[in-house]
Amino acid sequence: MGANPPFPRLLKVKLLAIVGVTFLALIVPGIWLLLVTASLADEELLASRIGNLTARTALAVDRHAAYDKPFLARDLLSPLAADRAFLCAELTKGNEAPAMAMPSAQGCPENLDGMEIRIPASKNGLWSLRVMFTDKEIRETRQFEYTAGATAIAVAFLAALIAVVVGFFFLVDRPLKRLLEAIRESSDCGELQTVNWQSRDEFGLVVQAYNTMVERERQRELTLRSVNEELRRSEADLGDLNRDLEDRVRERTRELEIAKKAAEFANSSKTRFLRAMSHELRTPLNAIIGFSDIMAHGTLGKLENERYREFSVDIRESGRHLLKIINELLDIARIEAGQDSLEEEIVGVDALVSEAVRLVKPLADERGIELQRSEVDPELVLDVDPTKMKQVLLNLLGNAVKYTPAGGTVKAIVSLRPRHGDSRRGGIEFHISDTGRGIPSDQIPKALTAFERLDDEITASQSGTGLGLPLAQMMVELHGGTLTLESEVDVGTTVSVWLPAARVGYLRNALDDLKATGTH
Amino acid sequence: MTRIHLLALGFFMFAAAIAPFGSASALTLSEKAAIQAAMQRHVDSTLVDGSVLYLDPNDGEVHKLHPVTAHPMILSMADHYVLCFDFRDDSGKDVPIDYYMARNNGDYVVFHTAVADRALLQRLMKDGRVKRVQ
Repeated sequence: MGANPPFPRLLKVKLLAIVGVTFLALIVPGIWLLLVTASLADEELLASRIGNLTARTALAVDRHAAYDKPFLARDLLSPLAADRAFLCAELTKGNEAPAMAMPSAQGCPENLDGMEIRIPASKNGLWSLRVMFTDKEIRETRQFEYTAGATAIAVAFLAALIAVVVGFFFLVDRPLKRLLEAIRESSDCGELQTVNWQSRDEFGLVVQAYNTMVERERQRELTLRSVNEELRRSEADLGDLNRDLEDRVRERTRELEIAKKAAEFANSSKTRFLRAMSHELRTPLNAIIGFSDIMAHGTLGKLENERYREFSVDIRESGRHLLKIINELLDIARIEAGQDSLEEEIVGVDALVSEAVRLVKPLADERGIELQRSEVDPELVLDVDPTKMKQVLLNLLGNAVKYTPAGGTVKAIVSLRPRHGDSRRGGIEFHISDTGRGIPSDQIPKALTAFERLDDEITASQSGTGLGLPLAQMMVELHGGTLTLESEVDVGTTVSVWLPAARVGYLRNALDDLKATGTH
Repeated sequence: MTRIHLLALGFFMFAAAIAPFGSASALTLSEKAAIQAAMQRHVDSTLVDGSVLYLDPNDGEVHKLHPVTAHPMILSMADHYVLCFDFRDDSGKDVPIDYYMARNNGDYVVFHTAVADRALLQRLMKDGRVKRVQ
């Protein structure tokens, strides 16, 4: 907080300067005007008095023709002497010596200091009355008035200044000093101080407002302290909680890492196991299938007993089924291990679908199921692994035929998904639908999971590993596509395969590209 | 208080101080007395049996106006002067007469008399043509 301002900058000095200058600016001209007006009036009054008296005297002299009557003339002139401004008077005929003078002994001496008025004292203008008078009374009055005026100004000025000083001290200085002291103390000690001052004037209101502000600030400070304390406690609690959480996260992360490693190890072990076992199983299995086939065909001689021949056929079929399972297991293991790759080539969609339908048709005919397919543009081609895509379609169609009761229908529909005005920009879709019993919605995830069997009478009656649909999904996803399953109980099931637009093309475009490449 | 305020106050004080002197040309005390004497002589010369006779244009009657007192104030109108004299008629009513005077060879003569016609003098004062002699 700064020190007191320099003397000329003090509020009191400024107020005194303003009041003093204003007072002088208003009072001095006022008093001056009053004195000048009073002096003028006095002068006019004296002129009127002397003028009228002289004129009346001259008229009286003329009226009474007192020119040659010294005693009468003296009597007529004597009222002039009653006026205190009067100095002397002379009744003169032309340029002659005065016939009558007042005072009678000397008249108006040459060196007499005063003012003169000369007016005719006869109608013919021969006689004139000369009167001399003084303005001493005016000068004296003026001097007194000016002295009194200056004194009044000085006294009033001093009184005004004293009134200002005293008033300022009681009304402004004291409350201002207390307020300033309180503010300085608040600034020095850091704790807000109230001001002890009671009055009903504006300063009282200022102090009251200041005290109210201080009280509010104190309340606010208390609230802030309380909030700060709470915040500190919350911060400490939060720190503890954070540390606890970090410990838990660390522990959980460690557990997850262990679990992940265990899972990876288990998966790797499973894959290794499957590959090893599949390889080890396929070798004797091929021997079983081969020998049972020889026995069934009677290559080395016909079996005498028909039952033996039927057994050898059963052994061969069971072996083939087992081989199929082993092959699918091997495919899944390869895909899961990320070791399977696509051998992509351009293949016609129509040919792909036709081949799959042709292979499934005997089974459908055998089961009394109608197999339908949509027309496909012969020039529509795919850039895919044809073996895998054919396996996908065979799996889907085989499943559809397998789980559709006799008299049902299986459809293979191919459609392009348009996008932004381009018919194939959205990719290609294969919809394999059947009129089977359908799958409850809660069973659909199971159908897409390897080694899961649906809780269904029909599926229970059918042979299968439950690997076909999951394997098909994996193969489609290898192509960057998706496989979805929609089903409604007692209506049927539709499996949709979508492949991205990048894999779809037309044969003519491919030929054009080839031509263009050849040109270059 | 800035310098501009001080200058404004100083100008105000100066203007107020010189204001009384800005009204009319000054006359010496002797001249004032001479004018008053001339008016007195004129009034005396117009007396008929001690009173001034006045033909009132409103009622066509001749009224006697008895001189009472001369006003000390002298007004100026360009090179001329205006003085007032209070009269009283027979009914006791005060009647002011304004004398318009001109200087003539060192003396003063009345060239216009306005009996009970203060409107003329007030109009001249309002127009600023008649002012108080300093």
